[in-house]
Amino acid sequence: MTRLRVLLSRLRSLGRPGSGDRDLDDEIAAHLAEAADEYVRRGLSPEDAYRAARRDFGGVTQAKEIHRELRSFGWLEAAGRDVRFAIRMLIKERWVTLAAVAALAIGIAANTTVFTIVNAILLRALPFEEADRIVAVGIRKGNMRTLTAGVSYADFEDWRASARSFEGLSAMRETTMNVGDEHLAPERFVGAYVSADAFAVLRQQPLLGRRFSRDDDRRGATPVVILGYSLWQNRYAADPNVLGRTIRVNSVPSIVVGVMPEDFSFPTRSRLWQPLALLPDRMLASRGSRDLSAFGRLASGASLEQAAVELGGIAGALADRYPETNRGVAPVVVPYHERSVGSRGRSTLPVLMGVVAVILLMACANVANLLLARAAARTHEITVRMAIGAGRGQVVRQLLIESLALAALAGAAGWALSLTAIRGIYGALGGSELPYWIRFTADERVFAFSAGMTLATALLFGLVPALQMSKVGIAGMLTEAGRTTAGAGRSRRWTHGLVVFQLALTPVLLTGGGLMMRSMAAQYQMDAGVRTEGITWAAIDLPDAKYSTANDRARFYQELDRRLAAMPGIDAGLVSHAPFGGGGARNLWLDHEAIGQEPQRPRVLAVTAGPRYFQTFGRKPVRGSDLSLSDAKDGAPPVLVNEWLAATVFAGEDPIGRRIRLTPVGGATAAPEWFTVAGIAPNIRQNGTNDASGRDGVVYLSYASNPAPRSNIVARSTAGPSAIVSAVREQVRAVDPDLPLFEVMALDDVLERTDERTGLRVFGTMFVVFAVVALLLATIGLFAVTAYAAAQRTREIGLRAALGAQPAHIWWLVARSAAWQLGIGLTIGMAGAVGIGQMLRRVLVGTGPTDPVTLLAVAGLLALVGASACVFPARRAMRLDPAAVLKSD
Amino acid sequence: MTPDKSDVLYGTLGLMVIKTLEAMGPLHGYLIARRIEQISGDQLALNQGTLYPALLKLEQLGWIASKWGKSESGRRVRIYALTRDGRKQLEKEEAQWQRAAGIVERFLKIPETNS
Repeated sequence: MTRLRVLLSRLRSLGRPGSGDRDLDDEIAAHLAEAADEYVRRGLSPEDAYRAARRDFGGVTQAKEIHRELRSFGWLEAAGRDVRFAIRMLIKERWVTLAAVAALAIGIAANTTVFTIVNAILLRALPFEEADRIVAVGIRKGNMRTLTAGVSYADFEDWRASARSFEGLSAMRETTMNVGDEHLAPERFVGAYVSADAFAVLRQQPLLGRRFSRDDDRRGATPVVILGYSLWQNRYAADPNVLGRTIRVNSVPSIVVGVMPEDFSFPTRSRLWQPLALLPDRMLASRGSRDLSAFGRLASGASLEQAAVELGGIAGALADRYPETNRGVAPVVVPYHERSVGSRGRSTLPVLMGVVAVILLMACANVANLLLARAAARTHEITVRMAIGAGRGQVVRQLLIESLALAALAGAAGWALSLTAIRGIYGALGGSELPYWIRFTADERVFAFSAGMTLATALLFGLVPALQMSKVGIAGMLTEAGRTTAGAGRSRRWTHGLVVFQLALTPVLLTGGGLMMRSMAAQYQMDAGVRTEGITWAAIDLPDAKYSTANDRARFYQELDRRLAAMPGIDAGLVSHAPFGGGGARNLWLDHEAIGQEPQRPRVLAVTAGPRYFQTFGRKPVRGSDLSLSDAKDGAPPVLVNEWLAATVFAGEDPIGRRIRLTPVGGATAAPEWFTVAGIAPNIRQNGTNDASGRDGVVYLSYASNPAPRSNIVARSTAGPSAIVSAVREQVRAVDPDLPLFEVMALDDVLERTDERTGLRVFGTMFVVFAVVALLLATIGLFAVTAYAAAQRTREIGLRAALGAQPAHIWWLVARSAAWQLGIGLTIGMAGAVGIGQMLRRVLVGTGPTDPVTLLAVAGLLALVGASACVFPARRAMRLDPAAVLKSD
Repeated sequence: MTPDKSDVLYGTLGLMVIKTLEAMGPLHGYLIARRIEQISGDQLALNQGTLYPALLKLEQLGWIASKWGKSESGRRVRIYALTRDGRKQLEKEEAQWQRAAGIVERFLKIPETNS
């Protein structure tokens, strides 16, 4: 209350500056006159009376000063003066300003950029109420650590019936849906089948209409659909009467019951939703087909661990009851937003965060050195300020405000820079394919982070120089000598310390960048086993509604393959997984082995391939026959094993004619099918590019025995990609006019888009860029400090030269301390370099954390760059003309 | 500018000022200063200049009000008067001061027995 009153009264006087001063002048004059009058009455002469009055009054100026400070916002006005002065200084020393702002802006931009990504991917929760309680539930198979597989409908229903730790538990499957209407062309959208309560679990209300009800999600219920906002806007022109209308989803007539609001595309990019009950039987009936993902909302008071323990108990009981399908199936509960982040991102991002923090520290060190160097030039100004009564606090405040102004400029520049960088990274990461809620946008958290960082930066690089500069003693400082030597020893220690600090950090970053580069190179040099250039790729996805049985799909593939084979001048075949694209992980059992404990051999990858798949790459089965689509369904269907399997698992024996069985890793199917090895396929890499082991056991299944709904066409021709695509599209349309081709691109682009390469390319490039920035900063730091030290000692050097010192001696005089700094910095840094290799171990491909090539290259590069940073100032010193130097001062 | 010491001084000086104004009615600055000196039996070497910041502070707090007027000798002077808030505050301050003074007094009288 009283504070407010004081504030108001001060605000009033702020409106009329100066008038308070005049009033006070009048008042003091009257006071002195009254006092003098009284002394005159007591018998003093007018002069003595006035002098006595002045004596009683004390310091007039001081009283006025206090009065003024009380009347105004003293600190505010003082700060305003300081800011104005700071801006004048920054403009006056514009080169220093530019250098400092550039270094800091790069540091701040790097930090803001990485933090924006970390915030988007790791920190920001889903856009739902109490989103931190939303969890993903999946299963872990075998001894893998994280959520690796989905859940089956039967398991999910049992979990949901028994688990008490969840407020709600939902299952879903995101896929693609073809939407058809009476008058509109059919379109293909990403859509999801969800349990009735999915939106209730998320606490998401529809924009129009209603959510799904329990009744919608029963088998045989009238099919219903909820539309996403963009679908409603674009396809149905935001017509509110769309509710109640019947549209065809995957050829199933469905009634529109709701429209979801904008910014809702759960789980990743869905545009429409249907109840789970509309999924084909094969996905819902079998306990062993784990095609759904599950998510839930933790009940209030229940923790992640409790939920996991409870589900573990339920799963244990299910495993006892259904050993064939559920043995070794362990549920995993993780916060939902963690599910969407690959382990590479999770392990790389924190390291990157550390890297950019280091860059910022280095930039701060450089700027601090710059300011320390400038300190000598400003000593005189500061001495004068202190001599006319500025306290040390005021000087420090003034210098810190200059630092703040520098940092604020750099912060603004860095922010702008990071916006550009983020756009680039978003594009490079394929951001438009990330789940819809992961957006690389700046929110309050990013802003607070950047602002806080800018502020901290100002303190970091400003405090040491400010304290150093304000330490000057007044007496010695006004003298001429003070200008060149004062405080030099102390601040030189600081300067050298900062340079050593930078030099120690540089090899750490360079080694990280080098290892990432080696990994990238290893990935790109990895041999696929076949030439992938010039191959065109396209995907097809058979909708469940139209192709609900394996026979339907097998017939489709048979017909399509017949037509592909007949295309003139084009080699084309079907395959389920691209080279480096993985495959289904399976355990391989030889004919004499009983299925039991995991066999003591590496898992194999199951890939489905059509006839002429190898021919498309200009290869053919090494021995035996190619796969075909007309194989009889009875008996043990033929498969191919690749050369590597033939050489290892069947070592010494002829695999052709042998019978094998395949079981999914971790779980088991009731009665695994027998296959007959019909031939030996050439080695084509299927393991991801971050597996450099070269252990690629691949079993090729036929589309006749394994007609999956999704497949890809690879094609090669001399005719060029567009001709190939239109020819292939024509053949697909001839078999099914409603079936679109998608992901049409060159096979090399498919490889480029794999998570491994994308992740390593983007994060690796960032790492390398940061490492180079660090090298630059450190080099500039060392160079500037050495050059500055040499310049400061010009007189001394000139004198020594005049007295006959040898050039080599002068050279060493200048280079000595730089060499020391380089030596100490590199020694510490190389130890750190080994450390960062360990941190990156999980990300590296085809190289180790202590890769000698990288470490030697880094040490060599630094020694070279560091040496040249001392050589130039030393050479300059050597060439000084003693006579000119001695005369100059 | 000058640190804490003067703040303490303002505190007690403020109390003296409002007590003076209560006793004497509206006065101009010089008379307030003289009055305080007289009451203290010229024991207090008051730097009269420090009175003005104190007056300003009291005015900002709303305990006193001022307007331009004439002194006995006909000079244009600023005349300060106690406000209603000031009067209330004075009671509070007096009580507080007495309590504080009492505590200090008791401290000073503690016989040093347990050393």
